[in-house]
Amino acid sequence: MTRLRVEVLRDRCAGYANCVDTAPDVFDLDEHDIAVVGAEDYPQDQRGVLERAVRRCPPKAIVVTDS
Amino acid sequence: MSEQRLAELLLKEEIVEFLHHEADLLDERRFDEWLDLLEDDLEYAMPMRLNVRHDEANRETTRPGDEVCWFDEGKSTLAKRVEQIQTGQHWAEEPASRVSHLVSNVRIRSVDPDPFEPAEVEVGCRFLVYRNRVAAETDLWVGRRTDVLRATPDGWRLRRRHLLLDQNVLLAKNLTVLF
Amino acid sequence: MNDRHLVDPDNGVISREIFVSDEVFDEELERIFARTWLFLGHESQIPTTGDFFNSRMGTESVLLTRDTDGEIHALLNSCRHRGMKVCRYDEGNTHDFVCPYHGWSYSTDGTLVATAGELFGVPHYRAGYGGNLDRSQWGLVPTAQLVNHHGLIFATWDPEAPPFDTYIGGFRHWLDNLAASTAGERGRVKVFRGVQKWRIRSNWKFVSENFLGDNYHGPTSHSSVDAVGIGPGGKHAATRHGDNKRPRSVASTSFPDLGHGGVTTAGYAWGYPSFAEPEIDAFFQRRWRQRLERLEAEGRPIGAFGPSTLFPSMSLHAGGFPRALIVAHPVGPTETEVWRWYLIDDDLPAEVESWLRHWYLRYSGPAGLVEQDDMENWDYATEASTGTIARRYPYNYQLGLHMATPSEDLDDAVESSYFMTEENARNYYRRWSSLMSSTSWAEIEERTGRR
Repeated sequence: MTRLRVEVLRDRCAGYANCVDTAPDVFDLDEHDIAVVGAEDYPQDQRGVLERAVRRCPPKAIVVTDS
Repeated sequence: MSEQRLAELLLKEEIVEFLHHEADLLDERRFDEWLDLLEDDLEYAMPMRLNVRHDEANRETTRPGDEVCWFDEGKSTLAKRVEQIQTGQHWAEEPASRVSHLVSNVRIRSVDPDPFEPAEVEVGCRFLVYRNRVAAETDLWVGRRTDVLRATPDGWRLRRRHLLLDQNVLLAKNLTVLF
Repeated sequence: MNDRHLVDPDNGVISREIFVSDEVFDEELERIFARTWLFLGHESQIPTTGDFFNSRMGTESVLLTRDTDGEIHALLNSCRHRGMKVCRYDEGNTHDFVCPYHGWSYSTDGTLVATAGELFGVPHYRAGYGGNLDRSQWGLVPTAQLVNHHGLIFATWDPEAPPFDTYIGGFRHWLDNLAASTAGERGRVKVFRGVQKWRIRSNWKFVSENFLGDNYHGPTSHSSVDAVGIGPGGKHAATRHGDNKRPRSVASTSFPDLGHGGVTTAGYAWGYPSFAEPEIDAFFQRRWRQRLERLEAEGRPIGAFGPSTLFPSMSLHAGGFPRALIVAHPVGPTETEVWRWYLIDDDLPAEVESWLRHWYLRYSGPAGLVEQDDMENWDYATEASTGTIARRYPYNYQLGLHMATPSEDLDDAVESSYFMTEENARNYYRRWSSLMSSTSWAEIEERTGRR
């Protein structure tokens, strides 16, 4: 089964931290207050929470794709 | 110069002359003569402009035939407008406004069938209509216009006029001018 | 504000000051527009989750939105951070508004927050605000009350304003006609896409007054349009309303305590116009019969037709044609932005819908052969009233003075005994005066009760 790749578009991220609130196991903020992703990919059962994080990101800085 | 090119230049000149003559008629308030330049099946529309997202540009303009426009009518309604002005009791045009129609950026978009014996021509231009009324009331309407002109034994006649006014909220109290 | 010397409805005399004064205008924004029920739009403009229509209340931009539960919200279009308009589109669909200034983000459909309009995202929330900003306190300002009256959406900023049904009183029959199809079924209309918006050089109250009961101006102002004939033709020629042969004995109705008014009574109606086209004529005669049957079955009066105004600034052609409404949005004491919506049954045959749309557009709006002459009058009436000398002389509102009797159909209304009257205007300004003199709805209601 394919896994989900999560990428943060650093130029768009503005440190809202909504993603961290939504999926604290996946997202954190670095020392520049920009979101970072914890792992290379995630299982399919994380799709729901990841899509919610995408939706909660106002500058649309999160991209989730099937790897 | 090729014969084709020459025919195109002469046609362009003829069309510009027609449009300027039409503007003269309107500005001189020769409205009955202006009505004579309109085909009976004329379509005359000025849709409205909305502010929409960049990727929804197809919804920027309201649709003649379906939605609310500033104008969406034919020759009979335009004739009513002229008749109304001529009653002398159309207070919005009594006393009459002073109007000047400027037509510029004229370009022939298409010619059917050819510039040698043209039957129908589609013309694009810009319009700037200036109105001064009573004392200090002044309006300026600017935008793009697409006309379809039909060749008749009596000369060019207007078959279709589509006006894109560059305003969202209309910044004038009325549209009594004929465009 | 001491209104006694400005507005004297008992004697039919009203000062020009209320139409031209900056001070009165500013007071109106506080005491009228911040407290009354105002029209925002029709539900057919926001049918789907996330839809929004950029509307207006008074001088302010207000976003009408539909949330994921189907609920409608009205939100002040101004970011709570630095005030920027969070949305400058006229309409669209979105699940959030992201402010273009500093990025504060608000949910429109309510899926990301507790209530639509709440703040759900702030840049640098952790590093810059320490996670301490209480986002639930900084959402877009919602209206205090909002109702959907058979598709017509109204709202007020004032939580103390009386409930909508109390506020409209017996005028609800006029609103019901506006919201109903030509067969009389409420909620079966839609709005043509495209709200006409244009600027006029007059005080907003000229607009309201025109529709609430000014029959007097018709023959003079609109003499040119009836001379040329723009109506449906048929057996009554092409007068602008069509079959406009109502008996002179049909009175106007107004509401002394509420301020609303209309040019007919609730109990009488004369039918739809006759059309020159036989199929369209037959269509509307059928619709009329259906309307009468339905109203009788529902116990609703058959009248409440024609031009009318809901206090303060929403005017409508109820029931007949053109089926349209206008809102007079104040801009300044001598400038107004009017918005026009055009309504249609949601089930008309294409050729009937098309015929009506063309009629509406040649009748109303800035290109309307009828409306143009109204605006000329309001413009130069306003201009001629701004002068120092002019302002010393009040307007005369004495037509039909002392000729009103209690309505036969409604217990909160009066009727004029002559069909041309300024009783409706006098009652409109009674209400205006009451609001302008009172600091709260409790005080307004107490004053009203005393009369």
